[in-house]
Parts: sequence; C-alpha cells; structure tokens
Amino acid sequence: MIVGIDLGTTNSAVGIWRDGAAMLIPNSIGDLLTPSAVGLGEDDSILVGMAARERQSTHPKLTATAFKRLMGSQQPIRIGRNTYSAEDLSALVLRSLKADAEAFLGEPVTRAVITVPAYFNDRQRKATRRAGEMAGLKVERLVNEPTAAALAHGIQDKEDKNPFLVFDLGGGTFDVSIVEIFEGIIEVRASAGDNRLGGEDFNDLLVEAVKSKLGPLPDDSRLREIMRAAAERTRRALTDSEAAPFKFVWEGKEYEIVVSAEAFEQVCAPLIARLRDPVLRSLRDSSIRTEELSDIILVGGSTRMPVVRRAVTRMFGRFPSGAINPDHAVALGAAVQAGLKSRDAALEEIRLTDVCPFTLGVDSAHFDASGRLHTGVFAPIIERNTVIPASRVHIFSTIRDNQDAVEFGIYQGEARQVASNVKLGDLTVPVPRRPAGHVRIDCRFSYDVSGLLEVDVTIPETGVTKQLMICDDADAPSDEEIEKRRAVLAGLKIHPREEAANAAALARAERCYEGFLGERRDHIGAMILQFETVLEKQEPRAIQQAREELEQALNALEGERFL
Amino acid sequence: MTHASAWARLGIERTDDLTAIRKAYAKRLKETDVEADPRAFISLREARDHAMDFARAPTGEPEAGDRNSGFGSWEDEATAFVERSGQWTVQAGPAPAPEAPADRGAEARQARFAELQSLLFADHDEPEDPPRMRGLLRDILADPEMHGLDHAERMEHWLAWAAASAGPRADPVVTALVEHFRWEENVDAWDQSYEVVALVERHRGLLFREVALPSASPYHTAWLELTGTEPKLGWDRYLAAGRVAKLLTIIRDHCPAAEDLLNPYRVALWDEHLEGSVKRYMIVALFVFAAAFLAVRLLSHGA
Repeated sequence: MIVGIDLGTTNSAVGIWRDGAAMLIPNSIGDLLTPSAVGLGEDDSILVGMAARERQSTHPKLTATAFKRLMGSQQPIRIGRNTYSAEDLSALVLRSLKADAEAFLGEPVTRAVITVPAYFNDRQRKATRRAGEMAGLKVERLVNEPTAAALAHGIQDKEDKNPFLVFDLGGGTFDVSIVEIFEGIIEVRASAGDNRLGGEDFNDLLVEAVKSKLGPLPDDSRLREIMRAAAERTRRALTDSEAAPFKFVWEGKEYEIVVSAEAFEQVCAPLIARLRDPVLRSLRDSSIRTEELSDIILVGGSTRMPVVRRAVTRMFGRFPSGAINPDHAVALGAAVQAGLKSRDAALEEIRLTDVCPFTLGVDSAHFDASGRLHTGVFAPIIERNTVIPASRVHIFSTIRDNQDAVEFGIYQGEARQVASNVKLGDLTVPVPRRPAGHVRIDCRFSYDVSGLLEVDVTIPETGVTKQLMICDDADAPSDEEIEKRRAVLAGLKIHPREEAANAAALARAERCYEGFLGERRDHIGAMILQFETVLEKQEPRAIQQAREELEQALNALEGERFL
Repeated sequence: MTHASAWARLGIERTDDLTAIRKAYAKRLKETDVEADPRAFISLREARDHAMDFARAPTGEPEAGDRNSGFGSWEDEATAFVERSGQWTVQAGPAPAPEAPADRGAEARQARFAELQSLLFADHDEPEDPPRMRGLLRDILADPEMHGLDHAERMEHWLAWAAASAGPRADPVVTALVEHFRWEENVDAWDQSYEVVALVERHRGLLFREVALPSASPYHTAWLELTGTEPKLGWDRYLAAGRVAKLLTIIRDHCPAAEDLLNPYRVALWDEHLEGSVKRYMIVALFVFAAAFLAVRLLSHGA
C-alpha cells in the first residue's frame, strides 16, 4: 500500500487511495491534520504534532516548527541540548504519520508519495527524499503541491476542464499552477511560486505592527512565540469578523489591542503585492490570459483570509471556486498519485504530466558589440515550464583559438548571470585544437520525471562524448551519514503514540495557564492538577473522560482549538 | 521529426481538428510507460506539438496571437490596433487595444494613452511637459482596472515599450515606472525584455545624476563640465581635471548608465586630455628621474 503524504510547513497529513476514492487517515488524536512541530517533553521524550505545537509558546527553546523553510540547508536547529537538521525533524514527522497510517490500515507501510512545493529546487527535493528514507519510507515519487491539488480537484468528476489555476498559499510557501484536463490526461501547463511567502509571514508583519503600537518590549524568545501565536489567533478571527483582538499575557500583564480588517489589509499590503508575481509568470509562460481560465482553485489554509480572497478576486476579475477543502486538497492529491503509482484499476484512464519549474542551463561566454568578453552568462537549455521528461540540445562553439577543452558548469535558476543561480555540477570535455569558433559542441540535457538530469556533451568532429548524471549534490550527507542519522533518530526516545492525546491536552492547558491571569488562571491550574491526578491512576476510560472535560473547559475559555 | 512521422506517431490522418489531435495524443499517452521509456513520451509530445501547430495554421502562416494567445508580438498588436481604429496616431505607436466592452471608462482610458503617447513621441522641437506626463502616468496606474492581471500585463508591456522607445523624452516618468512595476527586482532574469533592462539602466543613471548634480555635491562642477557646452580652458581645466577624472572612474566602475547622460563629445575630449596629461606627467617624471640620476652620478664622481 502506498500512502500519500502532504509534508506542510504548518501541518502535515497522510492519505490513501481506497475503493475508488482518496481519503485522509486520522492521527492518534483523531485529527486529519498533524502539526509539523517537534519538541522535547517534560520527560525528555520527543513530542511530534499537536503536543509539540502547544508547547511552542511555553517552551520555545524546546520546540521547533516551520522547519520546512530550512529544508535543503544543513542549518542546525536546536531543541534542548541537541541539534537537528530540517531533514531530521521532517523525518520525525513522517515517522509519526507512518505510525498513524499503520495503526489505521493494520499493516506495515513502507512506500509513500510525498509532496513538495512546485518551486522547491533540486537541493530541497533531495532533502525531502532523504527525510522520507530516514523515516523508513521508500519515496516512490515527489509530487508538486499544486499538481496534487489539481489531481484531487480533477478526479472528482473526471470531466474535461479548460485550463484552471491552482492558487496554493500555505503556512510557508506559495505556489501557482495552471492545469488542463482532457480525456483523463491531467496536464500541468506552468508552475511558479515563492518559497518565502506564507501564513507565517502574515503573522510576522502583524506582530511587527502591534509591537510598534505597544511600545518597547523585551527581546525574549518566549515573548516572540507568545506574540506569534496571538497573531495566528487574530488572523484567524479576522476571517469571520471585521475586527479582532490581539491579546497576550506577559509577565503578569495583559496586553490587548484591537485590529480592524482594514488595518490588517494595510499591514499585509506588501505580501499581497508579492502574490501577483508568480501568478503573472505562470500565465505568461503558458500564454494564457486570466479571462481564458475556467476556474481558480484555492488551496492552503491561508487562502481563507478575506484579504487574500479579495486580492484573488481583483486579480482575476471573478470569484474563486470553493469546491475543494483548502487544507486537505494536497494530501488527497498525494493519495491519488499514490493510487496512480500502484496502478489501481479505478485510475486506469488517468495520466499526469508535469513541468519543471526552473530553467536548466550552462554557463557560456560571448563577445558583445564592442568586442568585450562577457563570461558567466546563463545559457538556458531546458526552459522552465517545459513538460517533463524533456530532452533538448544546444550547439556551442569554442571561444578561443587552440582551446584544448571546454568546461560546462550546469546551473538551475532564472538569473542572467550564473553566479546567481544554483550550481548542480560541471563537466569538462577535451576538444581538438582549432581556431576560435571552429569546433562544434553539442550539449544535450535530458530531464526525467524523478528530477534526474543527464547531461551529454558531444564533439561531433571527434565523436567524443562525456556524460554527467546529476544525482548528487555537494553539501548532502553521504550514505553512511544518512545511516548514522537514521540510527540516531531510531534511538530517540519518542513519546508513546497512545499518549499523544493526553500530551496535547496537557500542553494546551499549560499554554492557556500562561495566557490568562487571575481567577481564570487559578481555575486552569486546578484543572491541570486534577487531570494529572487522573493520569497517574492509569485508567484509560477515566483518563479519556477527564481529558474531554478538560478540552471542553479550555474551549469555553479560549474558543475551539484549531489546526 | 518530419511532418509525416508526426502524424504516424499519433496514429491519425492529417487534420486541422484540434480535438482529434488531443484525443489521439491521450490515447497514445495511455499506452506509454513514461517512466520506463521517456524517449517515447518525448517523441509523442513533439508529434503532438507539431500537429497542433499545423492544425492552427494549415496554410503555414501562424495566425496572429494564437500560438502565444496571451500577448503576441508588438508588431501583431500594432497591426491589429491600426486595423481596428483605422488611424495612425504616430509612425510606430501601438496603444493597447481596448478589449473591454464599451464603457465610459474605456474612452477616458484611451484618451489618456493617446495623450501620453503623443507627449512621448512628440517631435524634437516641441516643448516637454514633465508634470503633465507624470500626471497622466499617475492616472493610468491608479486606474482600478490595474488590479486585474490581464490589463496590468498589457499596460506593463505597452508602457515599457513606449518609455524605452521614446528615449530621453521619457525621463520624467522612468523612475515612476520602474518603482511601480518593481522592475529592479527582476531585471536580472535571463528572459527579461530588452525594454525593461534599458529602462532600469536609465533609472539608475537618473538616480546617479540626482546625487551628482546638486550644487552641494562635490562633483557638481565636474558633472556640469562633462555635460555642458562651454569647455574649460587653461588653468580652470587643470583645476577641474582631478574631479573630472574621479567622476568618470566612478561612473564607469559603478554606474555605466550615467555615462549616457553625459555629453559624449566632452567626454571624448576629456578622455584624451586626461590620457595626455598622464603621458605629460610621465615624461616630466622621467626627466626628473633622469636629472636626479645624472646629478647623483656627477656628485659621486666629484666626491
């Protein structure tokens, strides 16, 4: 059984294709979404999911979230006394989802399809694969998030659809894809995105704006997290009302400021402006005008924000579709892809073709009109949004007399100077000595669906061919290192899965304790003590009841918990 | 891929029915294992694209604005506009075609474009009107239609083309354009248009001038000297030389676009003079050295 996993910045989810439909698998707390959070619990065990998220404002130095933003870099993330990489933490989240799937299906789960933002570069994709491997999953395929959403949307009624646009604004990344469906072929026409634009950025701007209103506040990690969590609450509240309070408690003092929808819109204006660029780029690359689009599909929790919906409506001159659940679409699509991969009979007539979101090319040199030599100029060979697999060849020549070799640096990116692009590798080929420009060099790029790039450089005159397969990257850990890390992660003391609900409830109660003052705080304190007493008795039914009562009491105080 | 082999690959007869072509492609695609045989997919795709190109233009002439149904080339838009409106406003000046259905806003919009265009492409001896140009641009950019992507895209294309083609006459609006469309942020893209690159360069040059020109600036005299019509002579020239040399070096190293704002004749004269003065100093230095050398030798002989 192959599962489909949405590994998101804020939340993750796992689903399967079963009985001709995609469905999401609940975690041990009963939620379909699992927060992408990892933390250290009181007993030094690792917490994954809701419990970790709830502890972020009470124990910020023991908790990590939004580490998807660091995928592809080896930047260390500190939790307590240990440091981890983004891959390690993602592997822990994936392990937790794997356990949830196994509990639900009653069988071992070893294969998965994992989603990545369409705009993730080579390094980031490989890091995601490694995370999967470290979690004990064979990554059958990485699928782009907007493509997955398009799959989930298209599978619903299996009708032909003229090009529609998927607008995916998640917690940390923004992706746009234009997709067309005909005769069961789901064809991605173009993809674009911004890896640094998501709900978290809206929170940050709101915190900054509030800080400027409230005057100087100390620079403390706990306070930062408390304000961030408050911003998240306010942002969500603004979805349903014209104004919402931004309130938090710090050092025995209650702070509250009312944020109007208008003020919020002004604060976020620069982020809203940035939403246009990837949309424009994908429209340009697919040569489609907004009036030709059949639909706009909103994906990702952050598209619930009225300010985002208004921007979308203005951009396209029409209302976006509400047909698909923005939080579940990507995971459901991953499940569909998993079904496709396992060649399920119900998906016999469905095929998916995707595009490469980045341009691939080599560095070149040329003389300009005044005879000046320009080096390090990016020569695209496979332009972005070319359907994959693709194979393209470019013809180059030598630039100096009696050159004995040509060196090709292979790059991925959109900048005119290769120095600003990502280097994937290089290849040196000997050439016969001739006057400049007299040696023809054929450079062929072949890019397949799994993201493997094969570079073939041929000198027709001598018949010499050199080949380079880009499947390694310089900073990546070696196989032994991966094994070592997998062993380390396997050896970590993980908080028992069955206890997840209790851990989450307790962590939430503690967070609320910090968030209230006076009588209410005392009340919460009492409830915590009571719950802990019941936990010690270790009677499952009593525990469950006590937990439910605690949750209800907390709901009454701060509203329902949200994901 | 030959014409015949494309149709063979798709398994259909030559046709200009796009739907039939897509159906054939879909059928063939389902018979292909893309992962196991990427070459088969690539050849199938090539065949489809070839067939669709043919279907769209069976006579061999691509229909205007069909393949790139988005924005077409500017020659296409120009021809289309001229045919639609039946007027030549200026020799080579396509204004964006009024796609919106007849509404009062469209008329006002068209009037604004026409006026801005005539100001930009006016004859050399006609007086400039920077405030009017700026006002028109402000109105165009503040138009609520600009929220819509299609309209904004058309506007961006047209304004970039118009400002780049108009040359120095467009200077009053260049900075406003670069800032509004945030061209500086993606000027380095490999597929950026020539017009945008040129306008960002011009903008940088204008910014440089804003810093160098004011009388408070240490390079005020040097700037005037390089852009003016009254050359300095003699002692004045000697005094100015240092600053002028420095300004030229700064411009060439850090802001080459600013050189376009200088008077090329004066720059050439100064280049020659400065080079000449280097030679002169070297000759003087050589004489001084030779004299000192001889003096030392004479003295040591004498001693």
